[in-house]
Amino acid sequence: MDCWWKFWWLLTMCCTLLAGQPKKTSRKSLPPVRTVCAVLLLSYSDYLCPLCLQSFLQTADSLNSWPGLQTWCVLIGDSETFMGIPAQIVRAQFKGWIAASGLNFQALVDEKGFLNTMIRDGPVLIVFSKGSFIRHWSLPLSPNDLKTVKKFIKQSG
Amino acid sequence: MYRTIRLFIIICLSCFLFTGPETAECREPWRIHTEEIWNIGGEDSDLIIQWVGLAVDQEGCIFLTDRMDYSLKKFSPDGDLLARTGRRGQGPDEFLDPCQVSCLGDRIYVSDIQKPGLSVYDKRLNYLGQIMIPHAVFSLQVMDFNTIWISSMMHTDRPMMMAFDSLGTLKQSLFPHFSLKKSFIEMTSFQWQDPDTVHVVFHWSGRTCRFHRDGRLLWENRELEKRKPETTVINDIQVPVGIALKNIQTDPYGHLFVLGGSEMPNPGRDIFVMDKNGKICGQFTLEESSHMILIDEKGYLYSRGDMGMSLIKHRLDYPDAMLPAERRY
Repeated sequence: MDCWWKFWWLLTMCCTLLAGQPKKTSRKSLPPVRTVCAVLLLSYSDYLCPLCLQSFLQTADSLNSWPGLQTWCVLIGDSETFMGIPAQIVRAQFKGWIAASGLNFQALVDEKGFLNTMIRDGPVLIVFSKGSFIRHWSLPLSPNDLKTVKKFIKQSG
Repeated sequence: MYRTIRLFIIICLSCFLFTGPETAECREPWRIHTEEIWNIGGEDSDLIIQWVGLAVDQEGCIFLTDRMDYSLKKFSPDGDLLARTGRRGQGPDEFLDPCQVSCLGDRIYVSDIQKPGLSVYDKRLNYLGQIMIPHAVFSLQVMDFNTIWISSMMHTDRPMMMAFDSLGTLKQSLFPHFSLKKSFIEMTSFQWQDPDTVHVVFHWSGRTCRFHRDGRLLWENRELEKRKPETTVINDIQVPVGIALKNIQTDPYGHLFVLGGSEMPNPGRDIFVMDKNGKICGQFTLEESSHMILIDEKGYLYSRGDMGMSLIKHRLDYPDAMLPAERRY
């Protein structure tokens, strides 16, 4: 489990980058804090497999329609799994694919493969509530799993 | 005596007729150069995410399938985007994994790797309907409105190519001239030279062949063949690891251009040029790796750049030996 700190580090860095420079604003003008967020982790080899992607998209679609849920989608690779393709190309294609798939997700690429150990058994869904990691599921989700996830998100929010 | 003289004359005439310019023009290696005309898309643009299939009509307009954008796009001969259609899904005008595209007259035919059948559009990219073909289509060429040639995954007893009519009824199957090993698969790309002859490359074994429409083998080139292809087993099926040849195209003068795959010295970049008899007469290398090449009716060559994010149009600079006499300088 030594990779969890890496995951936290990556997520924090991404939040910082996406948030931009902090502004001097009053507490009242801060955007509302989202209490629940979901992170989908996808390996580069699954990303290249059309059938794996269809299964992944089924879960992504159900999270996409969930009102108020902020979802992050992380594509995980390393120098070997990108198969020599430059990281900037992978980033641009992944971002374009997420948008073309109609997913309202933040698209991130873990090019160093920090999170590789977390996806040994395939894509993973992780749910955070109020800043804490709560539960994770392996994809594809069965209909029962999906019900559990939705119930869980509802209760956590 | 007279008989011998007549025989001698017949032999001389035969030599004159059948060893004409085709063999003469290939005595020295052909040196072909390419010049980039334009390059559209790229990592800083959202014009193309990852194109897969390509077709060019008689006016030079370009139709391409953008796999990761679930779309079909039309570009002008200068590379300007003219139209776009499609979205993710399984309904009309929707794609899961758009792949091959072919144009004929005012119709554009598009295949989807994950959906059997072909979607049909007009040249403005208005969706017209679906032709139900019960196979995943890996290679496609529409010869006339009632003859749609496709290739799908080949197994031991499966054909290398099939022709369907516009209602999706199987009209003809072409089988390879050699037997595939049991539990071994193969894929082909093809291009019809004319209604009677077709050129086929076998992706994994690396054979290049010309067949007659009736299934007869006219010639075969095995210079690029992999003698012992490396394989892996997936679901009890032997799947080759590397691709020897990717696709084949014919230029307006009848020369064949075969794109080499991952087993070649420059993967996805080496192009072997053959004469009409299948003899390799030249070779050149693209600057970027491509999954396919296309040569349009005017002789422009199209290839992929930036791993599918860009499309490159090249002009081919031929040596005199490759040109018909009236076009030589």
